Amino acid sequence: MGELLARFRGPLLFFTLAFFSLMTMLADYRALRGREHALPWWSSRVVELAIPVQKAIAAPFEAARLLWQDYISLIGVASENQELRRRIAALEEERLQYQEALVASGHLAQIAAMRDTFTMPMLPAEVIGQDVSTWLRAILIDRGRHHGVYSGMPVVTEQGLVGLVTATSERAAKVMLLADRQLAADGIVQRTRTRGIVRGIGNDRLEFEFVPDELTLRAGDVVMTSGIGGVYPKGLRIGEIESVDEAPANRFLQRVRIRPSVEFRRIEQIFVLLWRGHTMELLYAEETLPVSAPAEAKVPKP
Amino acid sequence: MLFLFGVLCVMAQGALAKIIPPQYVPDLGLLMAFGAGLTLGAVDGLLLAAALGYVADTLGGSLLGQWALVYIIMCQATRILTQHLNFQGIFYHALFVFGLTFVCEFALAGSVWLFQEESPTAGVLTTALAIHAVANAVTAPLFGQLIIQLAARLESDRRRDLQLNGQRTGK
Repeated sequence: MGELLARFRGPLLFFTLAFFSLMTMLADYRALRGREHALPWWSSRVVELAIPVQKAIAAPFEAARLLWQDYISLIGVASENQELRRRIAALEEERLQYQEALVASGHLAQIAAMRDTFTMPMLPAEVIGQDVSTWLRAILIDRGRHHGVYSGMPVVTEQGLVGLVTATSERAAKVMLLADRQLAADGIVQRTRTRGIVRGIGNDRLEFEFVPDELTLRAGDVVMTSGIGGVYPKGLRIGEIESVDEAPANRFLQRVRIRPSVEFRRIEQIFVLLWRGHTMELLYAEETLPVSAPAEAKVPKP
Repeated sequence: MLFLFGVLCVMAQGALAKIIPPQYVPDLGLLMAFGAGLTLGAVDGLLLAAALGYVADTLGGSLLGQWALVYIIMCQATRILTQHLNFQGIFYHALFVFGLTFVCEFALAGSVWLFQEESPTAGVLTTALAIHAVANAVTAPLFGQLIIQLAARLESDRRRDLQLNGQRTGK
């Protein structure tokens, strides 16, 4: 018996480990779908150990890249400056026109009050690592529960929606990107108010699903979060429609591709919205949110 | 020692993916599993691959055990090939890793489907995956050699320590 075990210990260990990993996957899946998703203690330690190591590894490359960027940006700085001045002037003029129109209709005060209501605290964070897999799209950030970051909080950049916090440790968190096939967002087309589900389809492109065929969408239309579904707040920019399939397989629904406004492969700085929608509140009910957000989280209104 | 080196590699790949597009970054954890299959025994190799897989799962967006499963498949496949074929040379190593990168991504996708209510809208095969497979294949022979050298060095150190201990107890 002992001889037999020794002879087949390789295959035996292989199947045992494969079975064990399947079991841990199942347990992790249940935890993710359950009411709490703080990382296990050993996992938290590994993640927190990774923060300084990954920062140290990235530092020289980062410095070289910034140096190169600065050098490149100097080349066209004069013409760019001129172009920017021209654009500022045009935008300023446009802004004044809008302001004029709003004041005239007496809505400015109401809109200002509404902005106050909707402003939510944001916490800046740095991306310290990213998945290399082409199938799974997630990032690791250097803020965790200690900073008020909890699972289910949306993550944005100045360009738009990035994804959702899915797991946290004391000082780090995992963020699943919107480009991941497992994540979806309820979106709305700004021009036509058409609703649908936005989902990643690989190669960092998104698809707008369940759009009825009779609605006329066109390339360039802006897609934003609808706020329905209780996961993301309303009005976060997702991207622009890239193409509309004229001959879809399903004749009742259109196949709409979206170019995300965020370049998922080049994310460096992000903001965690210290807010959870009602669906996320229900899902992660056992993870208690702080009564008030940390002081550093309260950034001025955009 | 090899485990610590592997952990460092897994952390390095995550940090590099932040700077250059992730598909161009070789999967160093996967290559460690490949190296473990080339050099280590069944037990050591599989345990190292599984442990590194769990570290990769912790640092990435996968379920705990997803990468571990992929790494032990990689390690075992390499071991089987090394035992039954004359699996030597840069070209064969690169070709094997190129092919297995696709297999591993399919395994990942399969394990996602296993736990999802609905299947994803697109297939696994993308340009990014092809680029990633090439990046892995190019790095594989070099990395394989590095692991072989490192393992040999550790083994000779261990033997020297054993000899020294034997001499001391002999005295």
